[in-house]
Amino acid sequence: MKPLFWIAAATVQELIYERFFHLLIFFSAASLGMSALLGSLTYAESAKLTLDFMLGTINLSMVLFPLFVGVSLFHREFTVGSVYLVLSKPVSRASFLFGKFLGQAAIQALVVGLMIVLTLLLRMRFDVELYAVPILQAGVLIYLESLIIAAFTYLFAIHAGGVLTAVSTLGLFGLAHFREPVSRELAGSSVTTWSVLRPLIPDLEVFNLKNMAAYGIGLTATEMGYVVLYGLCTIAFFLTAALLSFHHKDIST
Amino acid sequence: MTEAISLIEVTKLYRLSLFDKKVGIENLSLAAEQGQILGVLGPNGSGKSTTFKLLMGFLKPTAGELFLFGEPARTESRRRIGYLPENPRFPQFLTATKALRYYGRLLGLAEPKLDGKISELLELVGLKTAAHERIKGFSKGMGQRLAIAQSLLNEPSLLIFDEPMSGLDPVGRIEVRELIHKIHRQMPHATLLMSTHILSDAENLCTHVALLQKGKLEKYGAMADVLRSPTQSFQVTIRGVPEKNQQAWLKEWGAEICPLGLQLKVHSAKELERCLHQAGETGDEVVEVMSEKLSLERALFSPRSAAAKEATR
Repeated sequence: MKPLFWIAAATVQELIYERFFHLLIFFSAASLGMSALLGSLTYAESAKLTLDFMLGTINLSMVLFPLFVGVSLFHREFTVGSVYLVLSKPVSRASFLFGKFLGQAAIQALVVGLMIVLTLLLRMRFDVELYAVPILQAGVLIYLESLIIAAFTYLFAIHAGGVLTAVSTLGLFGLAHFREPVSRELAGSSVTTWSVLRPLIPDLEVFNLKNMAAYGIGLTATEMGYVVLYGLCTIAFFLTAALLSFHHKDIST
Repeated sequence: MTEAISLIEVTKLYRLSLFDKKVGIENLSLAAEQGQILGVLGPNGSGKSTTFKLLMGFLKPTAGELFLFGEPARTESRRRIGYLPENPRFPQFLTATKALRYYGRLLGLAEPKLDGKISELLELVGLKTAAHERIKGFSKGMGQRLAIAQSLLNEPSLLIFDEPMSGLDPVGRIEVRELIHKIHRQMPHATLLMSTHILSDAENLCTHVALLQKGKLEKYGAMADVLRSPTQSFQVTIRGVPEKNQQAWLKEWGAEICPLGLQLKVHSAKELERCLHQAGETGDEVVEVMSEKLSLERALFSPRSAAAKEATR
């Protein structure tokens, strides 16, 4: 097996023992429980509102998860210096970075998967249509968005400190969600900075299927294919940028 | 003989801000042949760790060339290197065995062979009983020994130890020093590069020394040459000197009274011969003649030390 997969496997193990991970899992579980409770307390359309709350919770958890875990997992390698023991072996920097990302991606898949399964199980309690396909589609897109956030984190964590990485990632995340409204606001004006920045900022709104899923509306296979492809290309773009940056970085704690 | 490492006019500048740079090392040329134990000495900030990190590829040189085993340094060269970083840190959730297995896998070692190697190394570094304990509970000395074990997994031709005794208590230091002796006995053809600012450790372990000051090579040479004093001195002890002879020894030779009788220092073989001749004539009994070895500290840091000048290249 290639070093990349050993690093990914070690990352999965590391995350399982990570206190932060346990805290986030607890937070996600508690939020899901709370969503279910709040939804059931509503007078009308409790099934729809429960689903809406739960998808929102999954989305929020999967924004926080890659952000904090990415900082904790990847950035700590440099601050603590454990990266030296890995890179002193015949392991390329690309294998290290992609291995870490792959491990994190596997854990994120597990977390999203479990939360979606839990949502579907709770949905079964109501005597309504399951909306399995839209819910699964929403889950896949939330997962893709979480991977994009993880890629942002890796890009920033290579050069910035923990707090700055978190703030920069959140900033980019915000911009990526409001890219189109900002563009519409600035249309016609001569703001050149935005016209340079805009192509570099992904549109994360394309991954927002929560509201549609709550009404049982999904994407067609073609639409889904395009969105997934867009997500994968965005991840590849930001990871490549991170790798180029990492390749030229002096590793010195 | 192929040089295990070779640095040719290597410079490393650290960028502090847009306009400000700090010198890590400057025009450093250094080589170590196979089987040497080269102690890289110098105060904090002299460029020891920078040199090692450049060799390992953690830092990119600003100028100059680096060669490992006669070839330009690259990722694959690390297959033949064992590296011990300063203050090594392991994933805390792993046990000693699991950590070694992880690093062994990264080296591409095959599983059945790896298990035997892990067991052998844990025995060597004295961690056999802690093999299945979590690293989280390890003392600093245990961690250091485990880090040494991971550096030996691939039976390297070159070992790079960055401050192997740093932060250890006296017992831990002795243990690690003994371990390095043991490793050198078992792998006599491996080159060991070791940085330290504890001179006695270097004196005990190294065959060669390089002294760095502010990123520049100040002195370099074989330990025996560095410690050999061209003006060798001897300490002479004379027993039971009668009162009438004492004044001559005290005034002429600058002798001092000691519990055994008199003790004096002579600074050349010729002077020693004259001293022994005089003792023979007066009938005073010379009980001990000790050749005084130059300490590494005096050899390297005394500005008037001829050995230091001689060792300078």
